[in-house]
Amino acid sequence: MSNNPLVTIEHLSKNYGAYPVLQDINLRLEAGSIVGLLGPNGCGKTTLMKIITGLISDYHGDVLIDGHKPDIHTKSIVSYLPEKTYLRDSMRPVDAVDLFHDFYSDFDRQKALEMLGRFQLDPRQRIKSMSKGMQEKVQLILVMSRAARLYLLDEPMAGVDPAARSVILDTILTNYSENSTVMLSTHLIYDVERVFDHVIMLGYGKMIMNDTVDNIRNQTGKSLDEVFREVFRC
Amino acid sequence: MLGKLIKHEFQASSRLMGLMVICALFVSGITSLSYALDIVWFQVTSTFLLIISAVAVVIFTYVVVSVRFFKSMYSQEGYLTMTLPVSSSNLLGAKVIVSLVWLIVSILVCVGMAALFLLLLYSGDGSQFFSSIMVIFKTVDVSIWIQYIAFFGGTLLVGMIVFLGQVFFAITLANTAAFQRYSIVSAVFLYLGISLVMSTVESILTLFIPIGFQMTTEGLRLVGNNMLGMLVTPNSVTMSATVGLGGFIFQLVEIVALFFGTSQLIKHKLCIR
Amino acid sequence: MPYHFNDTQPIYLQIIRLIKLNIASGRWLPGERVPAVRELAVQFGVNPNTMQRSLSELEREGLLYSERTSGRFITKDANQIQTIRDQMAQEYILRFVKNMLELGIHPQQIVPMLEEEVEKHHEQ
Repeated sequence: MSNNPLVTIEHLSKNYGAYPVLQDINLRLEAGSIVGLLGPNGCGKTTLMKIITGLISDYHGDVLIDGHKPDIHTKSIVSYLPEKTYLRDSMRPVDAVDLFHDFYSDFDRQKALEMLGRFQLDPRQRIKSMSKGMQEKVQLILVMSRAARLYLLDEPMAGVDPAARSVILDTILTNYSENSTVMLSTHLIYDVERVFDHVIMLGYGKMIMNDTVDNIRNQTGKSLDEVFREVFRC
Repeated sequence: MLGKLIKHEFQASSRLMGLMVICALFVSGITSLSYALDIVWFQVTSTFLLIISAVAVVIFTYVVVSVRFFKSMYSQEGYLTMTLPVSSSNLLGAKVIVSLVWLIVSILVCVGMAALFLLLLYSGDGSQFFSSIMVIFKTVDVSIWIQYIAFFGGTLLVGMIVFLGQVFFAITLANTAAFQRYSIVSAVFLYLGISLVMSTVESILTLFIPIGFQMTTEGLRLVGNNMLGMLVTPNSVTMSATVGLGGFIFQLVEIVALFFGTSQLIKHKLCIR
Repeated sequence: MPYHFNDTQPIYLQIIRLIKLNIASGRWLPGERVPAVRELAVQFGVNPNTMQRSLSELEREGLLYSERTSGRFITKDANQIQTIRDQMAQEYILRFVKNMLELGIHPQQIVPMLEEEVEKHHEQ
């Protein structure tokens, strides 16, 4: 463990009304890893990400990204891909590329345009006329074309066909750098497990597991998928 | 950063606003045509339409500006807006500036349509109308006109900024944990509540605080008279019409307080769904 | 992704095995340059840190060696490669025999059945 983890979270708690979405979460993320954030739906994965990105400023506990509480500096080094599309209906990919170019100094416009071409997406087509899969690809391209230090991808695989899923994983692996970390949340573990080196499992607001994939396999003799099913057996 | 935010905010809203201006021009054009063709039923209906449109343009703009704020900050689009590496003050500032521009545009369009209406009323021939206006202009010095226009223009401008301050604050408050479940309804009621309270306070201060502008034919004069006193005094020789400034001063303070409050709510109580 | 991983063994061990197979079968030639960690990670569809771990282990075993400026290479030691080939072949044989016995095939039947199958494939 280095002395400067990229993300430090201590005693994080968040309630929605009386409902405790996150209870006493503690974790550290180092740079240069691909981390899986696992857990059933509604267990706090998205809330955790929103707190790190600064979309939720109403919480208890300490959250530090690169030594800063969520603020302008952290927003400039964190690249967030939410589950739903956040681009205006009337926008076109070129407009979004211009916007990212304007606000993020780490955004690589060339790379984004090139990726749009590779994914066969028309840069001048309005978002509202695109299928859900296409919209998600556009957002993924925008997010991954930034040279951020922390990438937060919320369920990037959900509702996407298997071919697109492997393209997304390839993109994540190709983008890998020792200086940055990717945190990917998913409840579909099966084909994604091999991409993680570290895994955090959340269950009903609490942290159930926080370990490397190899350790888990060594200790349990099972895959993550199986461990997950066991833990969250109905 | 502020400049870029303003640019993108304009890009986001210009489609709708442009459409509105085009519609207004269209209605104006049709009405003018109806007078040129001199068909009475056409004239009546299009004039009616002109008046309604003039009012609608202003109301529409006030509503659009509020809805855009809600959508871009606290709906799905908020995921993008709120993760941009900009301060909440820059974010608010850009929204205020762009919204203000559209509000001013809408007032100008409305005034333009009203002027067209008056123009057409004088049998399509503006010369008589203009000559009567010129007479009024010549009796009073230009610099005094400027004083009055500046004062009333300034009052209108401040009024718009107060509206924006109240609406933005109400919408932001409606999206904090306490009200979030019924954010839209809460926003409406919070705005109505805030604006009612603030208007009452403004009115009281306008009437009672002894600072005002006396409207004379020599221009505006700063006086230490109480507006209520002027209204109540039966003999208006010693006091000509005075407009109390208490409310106006309060509005300036109110603007600072509301925007500061909104900014603080964003920094500490933000909870985007 | 062309490489498949099972559910139970740690991925880095499975990667090691797959690379040994590549080397033993000649798909990766002796002395050939190994692609960079990141590229390999994308090829195999695995985490770069995991790939790094596997490559380091293979270096420790001597199957790969690195030259500081030029990168990583597959060993040229033909004996070593042959040993790996023999080891893996032995594993296959062991598993085959176990499976056949478990199936209830008589020990005497195993070799004739095997020879027949080898003949068939040899002709192709």
